[in-house]
Amino acid sequence: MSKSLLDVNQYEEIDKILKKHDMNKHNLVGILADVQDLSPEHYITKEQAEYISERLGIFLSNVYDTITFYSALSDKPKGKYVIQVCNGPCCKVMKYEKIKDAIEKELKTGIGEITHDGMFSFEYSSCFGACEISPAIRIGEKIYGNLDEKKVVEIIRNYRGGTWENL
Amino acid sequence: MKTCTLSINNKKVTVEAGTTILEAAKSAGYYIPTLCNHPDQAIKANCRICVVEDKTSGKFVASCSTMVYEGADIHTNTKEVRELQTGILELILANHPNDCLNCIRNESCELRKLCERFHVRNYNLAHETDIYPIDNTSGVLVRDRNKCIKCLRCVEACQEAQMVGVLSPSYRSVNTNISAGFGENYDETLCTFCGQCSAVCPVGAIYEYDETEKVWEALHDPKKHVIVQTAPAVRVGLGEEFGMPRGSKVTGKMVSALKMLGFDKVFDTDFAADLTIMEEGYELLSRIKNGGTLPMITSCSPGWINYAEGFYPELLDHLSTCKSPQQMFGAVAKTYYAKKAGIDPADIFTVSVMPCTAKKFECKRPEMNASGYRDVDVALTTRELARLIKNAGIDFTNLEDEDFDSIMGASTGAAVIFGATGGVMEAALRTVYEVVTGKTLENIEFDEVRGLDGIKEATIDLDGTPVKVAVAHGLANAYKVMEMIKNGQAKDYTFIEIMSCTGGCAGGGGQPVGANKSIKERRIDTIYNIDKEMPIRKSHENPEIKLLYDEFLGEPNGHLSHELLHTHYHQRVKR
Amino acid sequence: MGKSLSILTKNFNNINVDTVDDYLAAGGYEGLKKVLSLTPGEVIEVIKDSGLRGRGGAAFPTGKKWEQAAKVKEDSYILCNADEGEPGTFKDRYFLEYDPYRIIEGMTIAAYAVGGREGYLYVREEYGRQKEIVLKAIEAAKAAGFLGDNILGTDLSFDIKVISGAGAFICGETTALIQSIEGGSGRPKIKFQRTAVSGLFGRPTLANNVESYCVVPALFTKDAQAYLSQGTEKSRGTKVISLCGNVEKPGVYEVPFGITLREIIYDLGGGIKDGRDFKFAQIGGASGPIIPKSMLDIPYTYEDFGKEGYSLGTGAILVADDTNSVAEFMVTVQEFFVHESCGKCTPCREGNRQLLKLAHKIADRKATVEDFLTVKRIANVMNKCSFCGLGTAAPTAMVTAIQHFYDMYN
Repeated sequence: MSKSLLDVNQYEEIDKILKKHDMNKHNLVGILADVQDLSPEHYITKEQAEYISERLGIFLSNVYDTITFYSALSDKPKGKYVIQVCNGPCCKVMKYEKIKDAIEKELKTGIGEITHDGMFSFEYSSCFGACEISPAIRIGEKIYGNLDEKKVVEIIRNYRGGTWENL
Repeated sequence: MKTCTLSINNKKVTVEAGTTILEAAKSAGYYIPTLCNHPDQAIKANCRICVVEDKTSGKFVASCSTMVYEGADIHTNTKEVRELQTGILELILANHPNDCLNCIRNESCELRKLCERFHVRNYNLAHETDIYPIDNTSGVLVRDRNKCIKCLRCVEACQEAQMVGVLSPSYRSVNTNISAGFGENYDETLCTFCGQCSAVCPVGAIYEYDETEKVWEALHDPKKHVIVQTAPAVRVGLGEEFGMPRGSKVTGKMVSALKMLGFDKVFDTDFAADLTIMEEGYELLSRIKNGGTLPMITSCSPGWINYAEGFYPELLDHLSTCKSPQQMFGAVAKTYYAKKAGIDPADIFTVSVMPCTAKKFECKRPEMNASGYRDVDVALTTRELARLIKNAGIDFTNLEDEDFDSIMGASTGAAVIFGATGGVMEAALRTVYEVVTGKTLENIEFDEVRGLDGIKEATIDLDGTPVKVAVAHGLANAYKVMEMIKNGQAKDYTFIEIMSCTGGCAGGGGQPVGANKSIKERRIDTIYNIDKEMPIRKSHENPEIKLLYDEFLGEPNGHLSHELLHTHYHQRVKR
Repeated sequence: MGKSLSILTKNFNNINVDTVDDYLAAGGYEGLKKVLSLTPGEVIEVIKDSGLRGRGGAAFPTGKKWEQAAKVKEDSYILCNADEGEPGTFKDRYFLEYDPYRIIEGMTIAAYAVGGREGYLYVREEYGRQKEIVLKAIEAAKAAGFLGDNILGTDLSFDIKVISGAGAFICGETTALIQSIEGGSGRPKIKFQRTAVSGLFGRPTLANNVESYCVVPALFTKDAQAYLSQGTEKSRGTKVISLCGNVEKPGVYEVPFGITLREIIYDLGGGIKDGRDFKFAQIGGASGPIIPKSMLDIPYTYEDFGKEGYSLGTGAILVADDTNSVAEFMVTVQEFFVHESCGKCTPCREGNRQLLKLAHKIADRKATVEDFLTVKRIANVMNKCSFCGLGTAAPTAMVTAIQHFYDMYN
């Protein structure tokens, strides 16, 4: 087994998660979600995946498959806050493009990218069922709806915890 | 046995209940097109090109995964079925690189064969191919994901048949691609290079790392003395590349073609197989006598060695220290033969032809230089030899038989059966029996270790002493055996043969593609027939081997043998 | 005049779900109590007689499904599909958040009727808040003796595990959902035997949508009469729909089958927002047909939509006004399918890829007549050859859009 760059602390955290899920390989999706939550950049490293693969007796290639198959899991780092703009059919008729453009302008970052300070990543999301408050975005687990350009900028600035000029 | 009568294109046919429509159609004389289907693998039903019309239910179904039922009215060639099948083919082609003219698989590609059948003319879909980097850093196998049609045959071969698990689908939708994960190439994983993935791939997405140009270069070099050795299983597979029936015996033609290609000497790996039996037989007896690690496990399958080093490093003591015939040959060629022929070993270029892709990995191992030079310079697969022969324009099927050259070309029946699972075991028993008992072995065919069962066992009566042996083929069965050894459940076994490929070398990853169980069986049958017809059938009776020991090595497991013909193993870790 | 009803949805925004108390006070668990006085066979007869059809979109007769599961001697896993990924659909979210005990009661009744001890509730990852609510409700139900061992003092023991999805629409397909729970990617699997015989972990499994389980308790209480008096002969009872888009009052409504789309959109939904005109609606989610103004008076029933060759789908009704371009809307629909296709089978993976390109071509006004024929051709291949329902239904929007709005594309 290749030597890992993980420090002991991370091993312990992953072991706790594995224990919580009964060391059961059937719980792989839940395990990966919890391991991902350990990271402020919301992703799973190769070393973490290798450790999980070893402990659960699953091929690493299958662990990688599971991570890359699901939209909620990632093997690449994201921003501290992940802003997801719904580009689904309902948000389309509610003109999500206006919201997306406003965020792009505010963050000075294009969709699919991370801001320079690593604070926000900005991506599209499939419909997450908030259609009656469309157009909607998700930031992490929180859903914000009934948006217009002004509201969405305000929300982002609140996450920044200050005005744009202060940064 | 319950039967079922249905009609295929209005033709009544009766089959066993539980048969798929695909199989039933075959028995009615209709070949429904397939791509992901493989007779030795689980039904996948993901390419969908085997669609047929069930007029009873009015539904269109995938014939590979739909069972027949009594009175079914199946149609395989209605206008709509043909339109649907053509449509699916077009969809695949829309994502497939137009590389047929250059592709290494263009003669045996299953997708191209379907195009022969469908002749898509009015092709108007948007052509969009992928641009994944090609994995060609291992020097053994090459993966080109841009040609992959996502049939998942390679995944099943790697995960289920071989239990190595380097390959898996990843991502989804148009981003679906087969990978080891995290951007790893083959050589950054614990891939055993068994090549079973390349053997089942229907297209040119996984193939052997072609080294024919290196061989041409050596052949063109007037300073080089180029010698070639051919493995047992090659002589029952090579003919298939020239349209001959599966499993045809082509030993003589193969030798003839090699001579016509310009090799200075055409030798036989089988010679070295007899040598391996001498060394390994005596090694086994020594372990039995002196309390060495038992059970001892054969070491001529490099895919298996890679597997043991990667997954069971703590059990490496069980492996015989003998090199494989390929490597023993190389060491002997650049010492014994060089001396006898009066050639500077620096000018000798050894080529091997193997049914195996892992042999490429094996011959490149740093420690395989006992002669003072690279013992084996290039290991070609059966497929590459066919390429060489075709490139040279040699009329293979009409060649006259020729014989191997001496002094490394004589062999026995025991050597040729190395190409079949159970063959090494049987060959070893033929020699060990006579060495230990001093008696002549009358019944030299050990049926209990023959055949395609995953794990075979036998208890051999060595003049009163029962000796328990086992034979496993396919790494999934190697896994079972190693787990038994790990858990202390194999203490009463003395000798175990493990081959990495199902069927043994006859079903090797470097053999002509498109093989299945019944084709492997045919190749194996031919191998056993060759054995039957050989004048000498026991390794220790090979006169060239006797000469080698008399004039050069001394005795089996002697000092020189250990230097040239034995090796050590080490744990493999991911890079 | 279209009216919305309050039979299945009577508890929405009306009760506190922190404990079982409000649910009980509103008549909750009367259904289970009645069920426990019947034989499992009698329970299934009630489901069959009700004409209830799967509410997740496939509309398979629920009674028949339960009967198939009951036939299997071995215990069945009771699986509740709360993956609700179909765009425009959010009705299950309301049940999870506002009436979780109803779901639990429905699943418990199923456990009794078909024979089961373990339930799995698979909630889409994006419904994190609703998942927490359901988890609390399960604990509360257990504490009150409505879940766990010896429910209500009988032999019935049943517990529910909540599993979270991870962002994959395909996991709403039953075999893919099962793959997800079994610990891996959610790619649909070949069904050599129906799920009732071999499903989760290779064991007998009953899989139903959230709303389907929510109808069940009502069939055994005094709500049954109100419920069954609604609808038509072939589409009995009510449907919980999610109305969204360019309407005044988007939201979840419970409607009687037989109501028209016009009544739904104008009477319940308050008509088109900002005084604009209706242009088209998509029925049943992204997998559903595009309906033009001329079809607004079709009764919302399985049989009337079926006559047109359409399905009601999940109950989503997305309304688009005249500021929208049908062609651009098709691009959005196709982008969804390209994003969510699992990629396993050729027709869906490659077909959706091609349809997205064609949708762009059409929206950019660069499409030729041949392109429209190609859409039809690919749609046919996807329809007839896809491995699962995602690929089968994906071309519906484009095909119906071209059918009804051909002139708009020119």
